[in-house]
Order: sequence, then structure tokens, then C-alpha cells
Amino acid sequence: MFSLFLQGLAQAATPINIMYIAFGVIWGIIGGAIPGISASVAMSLLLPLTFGMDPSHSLPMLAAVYVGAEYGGSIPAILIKTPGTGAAAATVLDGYEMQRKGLGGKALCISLYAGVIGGLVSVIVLVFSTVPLASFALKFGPSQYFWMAMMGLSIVGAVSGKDPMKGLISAAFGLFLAIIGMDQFTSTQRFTFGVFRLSEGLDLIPVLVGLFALSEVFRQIFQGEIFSVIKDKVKMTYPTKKELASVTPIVVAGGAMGSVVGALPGAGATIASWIAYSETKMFCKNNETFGTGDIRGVAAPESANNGVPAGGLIPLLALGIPGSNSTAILMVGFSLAGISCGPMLFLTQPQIPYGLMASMFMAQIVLIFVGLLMLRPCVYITSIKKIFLTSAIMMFAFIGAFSTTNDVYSIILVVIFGLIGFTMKELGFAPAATVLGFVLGELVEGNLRRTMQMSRGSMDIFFAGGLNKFFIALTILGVLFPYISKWLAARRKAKAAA
Amino acid sequence: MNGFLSRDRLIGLFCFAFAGYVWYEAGTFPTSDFDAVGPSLYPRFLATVIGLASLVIFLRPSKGASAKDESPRWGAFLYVILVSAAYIALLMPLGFIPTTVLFLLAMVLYFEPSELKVRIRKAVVYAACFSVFLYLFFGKLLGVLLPAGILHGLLG
Repeated sequence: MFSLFLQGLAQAATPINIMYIAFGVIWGIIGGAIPGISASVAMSLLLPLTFGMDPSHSLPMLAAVYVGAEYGGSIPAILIKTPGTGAAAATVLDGYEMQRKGLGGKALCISLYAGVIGGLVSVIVLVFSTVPLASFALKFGPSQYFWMAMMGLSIVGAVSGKDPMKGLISAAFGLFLAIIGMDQFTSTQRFTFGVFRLSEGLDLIPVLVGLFALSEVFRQIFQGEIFSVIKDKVKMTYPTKKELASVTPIVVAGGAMGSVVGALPGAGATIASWIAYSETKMFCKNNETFGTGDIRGVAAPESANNGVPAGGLIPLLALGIPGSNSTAILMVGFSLAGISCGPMLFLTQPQIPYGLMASMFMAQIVLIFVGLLMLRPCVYITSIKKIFLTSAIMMFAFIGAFSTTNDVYSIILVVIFGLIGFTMKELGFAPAATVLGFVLGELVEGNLRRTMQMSRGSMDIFFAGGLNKFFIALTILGVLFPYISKWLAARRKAKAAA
Repeated sequence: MNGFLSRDRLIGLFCFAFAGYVWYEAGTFPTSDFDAVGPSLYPRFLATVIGLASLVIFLRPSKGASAKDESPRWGAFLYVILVSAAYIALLMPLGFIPTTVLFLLAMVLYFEPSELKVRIRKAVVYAACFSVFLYLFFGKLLGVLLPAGILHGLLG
């Protein structure tokens, strides 16, 4: 197994392959850095170009786009509080706070370091545990998927905002938004208010861009921040060796966790980054600095979401099942090259899966150099007067939304959700939880109803089995976490006073 | 707003009313013999979660409103909403480049703090260059079908 990986590595290290991988990484970083252009959009834009290409070039290039986009999403998340991809939403919490303190350059370096180490760890996990981990994920039924999604949402409720009840309502509101449209089981129109376009449901990109990007623009304008003049240019600061060493255990754990989450169908980089953020906050000492510009709050989600691409390859390569939009596009790349994914591939053409694994490894190495080269231009963005940046964000938001349907309906949605997100922020709700609820909505309802159909309406099936109980325990822990940590803090304070 | 109906209590009431609406509306969905669960159960589950959480918000002791440092800029906020609405209305008839130029001009002229002459110069250069760049990047490079509008003859 390892010798095949080394052979793949030798093939990936040829100049022509490095060139394709570098192009993929650059394309991915640019795509990820543009709000509304996710990894899957960037990959799909490149997909037509791979037709007729040698699969030993096209597949690594597509995989490299995925790697680059996961890092690229953190750039606007840190610099302008606008996550380029949903996976970078957790990075906003501490990354943007660091930027506000003049440590944007350091936050980007930490993000790059965490992304590369997390990515390398995930490739190692991919190489050594493809078959056993994929078979473990296969044991999951719809009830486990339901609880896993509920666990993710409960965690988001815990981490976003200071009020867990408003966080819970925000997440439930996101789940509600996902209901809008035609019911996938009975074709009943639900909450469409007689609007024909709503019967298709709400598109992810306009909702995400509106709730994140435009709501932030509205907030800055409403609070007068747009009039503020940036007097000092942000200096390019680098993390110290001590800081890098302090986050290394977090990024190694985040990368491994990202690859495990990436291997689970439906649970992508967004869930991985939120879980990594929450778990790191839960287990780290002095966690009260999270959300105020703590480097651990950047390192944890970035290592996890960069671990997801390699993790996503596990079910794709071993079982032929894509676990996310991006791996589904990669599967189309396989099909265009006339290759069928699945266990037989390891027997008939082992050089293809192992070559792809090696290319993922090489993409991380290339990401170091490309990412470092693109750091300074990224930091330059912060010295531009706010109105130019704000109007540019609005334009990217409008065009990104427009590109999904090619009409102004999506722009109208962006503005509406921008206003909803702005109002939620002003009232202390958590738009980030709404976005996650919206993304997970179909998964939650689909698995809830599939499970209940299997049990003919009985709820007992949700509480049967060790895996369900494990996820239920984590879900309850997620809801109670803010109260437990508050109680523990009060107890510590009382103890100290005594 | 310091009395019984504090801001949080009003929020709790509003969310409870929303949960009530979702619960009621879900009850109007037709049931199917082929689906044992039906389309109403899940929205009602969400309505219950929202309703219970909003009750907690309503019933807990109200906190004093925290004072904010910044005074809200209602004028600027409404101006941006208006400019955005105008952009949406004009995009298809006028086309991408002219509408984007007008939008960026309107934004920079209103918010840029320099003196008028400098502001106009900056706004015109920025609006023209950035609009063309966006058109070339998204329209030509990425293949997004941006509307040509009145420049249809020129852009093809």
C-alpha cells in the first residue's frame, strides 16, 4: 500500500503535474476568496476544461482546486468578515477579531499553517484508513445521520452568540428556511406564500451571501463604520515559533477530525470546522479568549476544513460514493476520464487512487508556497478605503448570486437575507447558526422521515443502538454546554473569592 | 422599554407568534396515504423548538439594555437599500456595465470622505475600471451570462 503511494508521489512530483496542481491551487484560492464562489462552484467551472485531458493531470488539478478553495475561503473571512465558503464561517469568529486588532497577517499565516498541517494529516489518514473508516461510516443509518446533524446544530447554538436560546432559535429558523418549497416526499408546497419561484426552494448561495456578506455591509453602514478612515496600514505580522508550536496539537487533531467528518456523507467542511472550533473551545484552557481574536480559534476550524478534502476521498475512492458536492464533481471528473470509482479500482488501476492521494499530499506542499506568495496582496486589501471594499463586496455578492440563476431574483434574495441577517445581528441572534441549519435542513428532515417510515411512525428507533445514544449524549452536551461552562465559571469565581 | 415589555420580551413574543404561525400553517398541508409521517410533523417539531426557546426568552428576568457607542446612521442605511433596489430594477433593462457604473458612482460619491472634486475623480475612475473588470472576469472568463442591456451592440 505504502509503496504504491510512494510511486504516486514520484508521479505527482513531475514538473507537469506540479504545474497542474499549482494552477488548481491558485484557481481554488481565488474561487474560495470570492464570496459566493464555493469549492464546488470553482471545481465545476474548471470541469469542462478537463474533458479529453489525461486523468493523471485532470483529477489532481480538480482535487487541488478543492484544497486551495478551503484555504482561500479563510482570506475574506479574516480580512473582511465575509467567509468565501461556508466552511470558513467559524474562522470569522476569531480571525476577524485578530484583523480588527491589526493581526490580520498573523491570522492568515496561522490559517495557512493550520490548513497545510491539517491537510497533510488528513492525507496520512486517507492513505492508512481508507477501507476501515469507510466501512465504519457505512454502518450509519438515517437515524444516526439525523442525530449527527442535530449534534452539529446544538454545537452551533452553543458557540454562536452569547444567548444559547437565541442561538437555538437561529438554528431552527435555518432548518425552517430549508422547508420552504416543494416537499421531497409528498410534493406538497410548503411556506411558499403563493410565490412560484419559492416552490423550487431557496438557493444556498443567495441565502448564505445575504446572511453573511450583505448583512455585514448593512451593519457597517448602520453603525457608521464605513465612514471610518484607516490611518495605519496593516503590517505583515508573522506568528512566532512559540505560537506555531502552541497550535500544532490543535491542528493535528483538527486535520484528523476533518478527514473523519469528510468521510461521512453529507457532513462536509462546514460541520467539520464548527465541531473543531467548539471542541477546541471546550477542551482548551483559558477558553474565555475565544471569539476575541484567539489564534486557536483560527487554527482549529482551518485545520479541520482543510482536512475534509482528503477525507471526502475515502468514501469516493473506496466505495464509489461521493460525500459532498465537491467530491461529486470529482466523481464526474472520473466519469469524463472513463474511470469508475469504487473498490475494484484498487485492483484494476491502483495507480489512479494512489496517484490521487499522492497529489493531495503534493497540493498541500504547493499550497505553502502559493499561499505565502498571495499573503501580501491579501493583506493589501485591508488598507483600501472602506467604501471601495464595501461596494466591491456588494458587487461580488450580487454577481455571485446572479450567476446561480442568471436573473435578478437571486439578487433580490440576497438583499432580503441581508436585511434578515442584519436584523438578527442587531437583536442578538446568530445568522451563522441559521446558515448551518439551512445547509443541514434537507439532511435532517430527510433522515427523520426516512427513519420514521422505516419504523412506521414509531420514535423508538431514534433511541435504539449505541451510536444513536452516543450522538444524543453529544447533542444534549452541545445544548447544555454554555450553561455548564457558565456554572463552572461562577463556581471557580466563588471558590477564588472564598 | 425598561418596564415589563423589555426588548428581549418583545423578541420572545414575536418568535412565539412566528412559531404559532408555523404550527398553524403546517396543519393545513394535505396528508398522503403513501407517507406515514406526512409533511406537517417536521415543521411542527421546529415550531415547538422555536416556541419553547421563545418562552424561555420571554419568561426569564429581563436584562437592562446595553448602551451602544455608535449612533445609528438611518439615513445612510436607507440610502444603501434604495440604491440596491435601483440596481435590481435597472440591471436587466440597462445592462450590467451601465448599472454597475451608476451603482458604484452612487456609493462612492455618498460615502467617500474626500473633498468633492477629488471624490468625483476617484468615483468615476473606480466605477468605470471596476465595472469593466467585473464584466471581463465574470462575463468573459467565468462565463456568467451578464446582461448586456443598452450596450448589446457593442458587447455582442
